[in-house]
Amino acid sequence: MNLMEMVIALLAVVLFTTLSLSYNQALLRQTDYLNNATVVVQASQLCHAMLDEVDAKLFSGQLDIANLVSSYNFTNNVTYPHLPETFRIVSVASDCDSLGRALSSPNPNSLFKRVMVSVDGPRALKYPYSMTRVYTKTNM
Amino acid sequence: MMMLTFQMQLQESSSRLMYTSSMIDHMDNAASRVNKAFSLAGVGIPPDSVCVYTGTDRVVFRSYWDSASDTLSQTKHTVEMKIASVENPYGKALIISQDGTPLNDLGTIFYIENMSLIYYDKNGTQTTQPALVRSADVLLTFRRDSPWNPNRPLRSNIQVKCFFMNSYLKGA
Repeated sequence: MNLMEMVIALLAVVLFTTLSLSYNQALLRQTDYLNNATVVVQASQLCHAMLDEVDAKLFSGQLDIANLVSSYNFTNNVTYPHLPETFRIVSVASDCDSLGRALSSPNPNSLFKRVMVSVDGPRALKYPYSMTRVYTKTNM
Repeated sequence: MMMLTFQMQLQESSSRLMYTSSMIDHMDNAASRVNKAFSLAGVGIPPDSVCVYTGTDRVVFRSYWDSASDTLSQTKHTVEMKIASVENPYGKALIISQDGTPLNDLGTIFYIENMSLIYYDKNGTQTTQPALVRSADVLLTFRRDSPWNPNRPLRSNIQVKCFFMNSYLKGA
């Protein structure tokens, strides 16, 4: 093998390695997105569960809408052994207007309350997942 | 040789990714379907009589909602959710049946290997008594065979909290 052939062989190796690397990187990115999507499905279920809990308690009268803001402002780290993952659940309740926009100053007599639940934690979840529900006082 | 190995790796990874992406959509649909079944339980039924059977892998409840036609009904229906064996290649499936007949609208959810249920009373305390049950954690394990290696199946877990909303509407 002369020098030129050796150079060409080396170039071929570099070319194939670069190709392989770029394809692998693309696959890794794709896998990362899919892992993120899997966790997003779970995060959306956790947000739903939290907001459904508020619905259920309001329906049954276990929670008065006037106490919503004081009861649903918290941060919890919850471990789910089945998944198995630990999620940080942040619930922020506030007085709002009819369109769900937070009031500049709290008004306990407001007819509308808003609960925003955000979920983050697992490394695969790239961005926190949030869900908001507006509650209206109908029984005066 | 290098290119061959590389191509095979690429093909396997792509197949896995395709399988996983379709599984994510399937998981989301299954979770919504399970949640819908629970939310329509207990229509017209006193809260302490909604659940008939509350096992760790099977739940049976009553409702005046006809889940087959998605309409309110004059007759009381019994809805059952359980894991059952089905024909290959699926192996097992989650079956949602009304009065013994699987529902047409996603009444048979494939690729589910296991379902575990944990029940709670109206205060969120774990219970096993059907009369006290007001919500449940549904733990689902989805499974699909790997396109290349059946000994390395793809598994995904999801946990869904479902509330018997009609019981809460009646004061729980």
